[in-house]
Amino acid sequence: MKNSLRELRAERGWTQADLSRELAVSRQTVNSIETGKYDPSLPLAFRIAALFERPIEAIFEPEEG
Amino acid sequence: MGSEQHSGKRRYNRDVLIALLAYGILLAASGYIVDANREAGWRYAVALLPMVPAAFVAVAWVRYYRTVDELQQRIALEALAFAFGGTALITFGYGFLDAAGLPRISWWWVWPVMAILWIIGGWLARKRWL
Repeated sequence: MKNSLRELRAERGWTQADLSRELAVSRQTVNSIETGKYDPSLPLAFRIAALFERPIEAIFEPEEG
Repeated sequence: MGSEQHSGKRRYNRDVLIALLAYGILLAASGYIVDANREAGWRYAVALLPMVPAAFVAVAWVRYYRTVDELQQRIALEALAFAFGGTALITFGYGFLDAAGLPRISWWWVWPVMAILWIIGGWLARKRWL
């Protein structure tokens, strides 16, 4: 799944460590989500959406095909 | 890392350190007592004493994995599944070789085999997900 987490984080001037603290996950987990290696669970995706004040589908989009 | 994970890691480190110190002391003491009482019926209970703090390490693992985030739990699960399956295959396979005539080996080997597979499984899972 593609996502715009890296861009949203950059807009706020946050490091991965800052975001990991906000989401209560490890920095590696933030990195894996940003690079698309790992798709977060629905509860974590909702926490991300709430943090950036956007609907989930504005942050995550399924791969085409 | 979230603060819950930080405190989980700290607690894990402290619990394991204390348990390993107790394990070392009980290992030396029980070995000495069992050697000096080779005929006593209670020597089996004394021989098992180091397993009491070892059980605290097992409890600390479970507690620690409850504090880590969802991706770390997935990595831990894959590492444990790799070690679980691999240990089953190796120990059961050697059971057949034993029945076919290879020398019987000690149960001591089960844990080192599992621990090595756990490390390899953790490395493979981290490579995949991180």
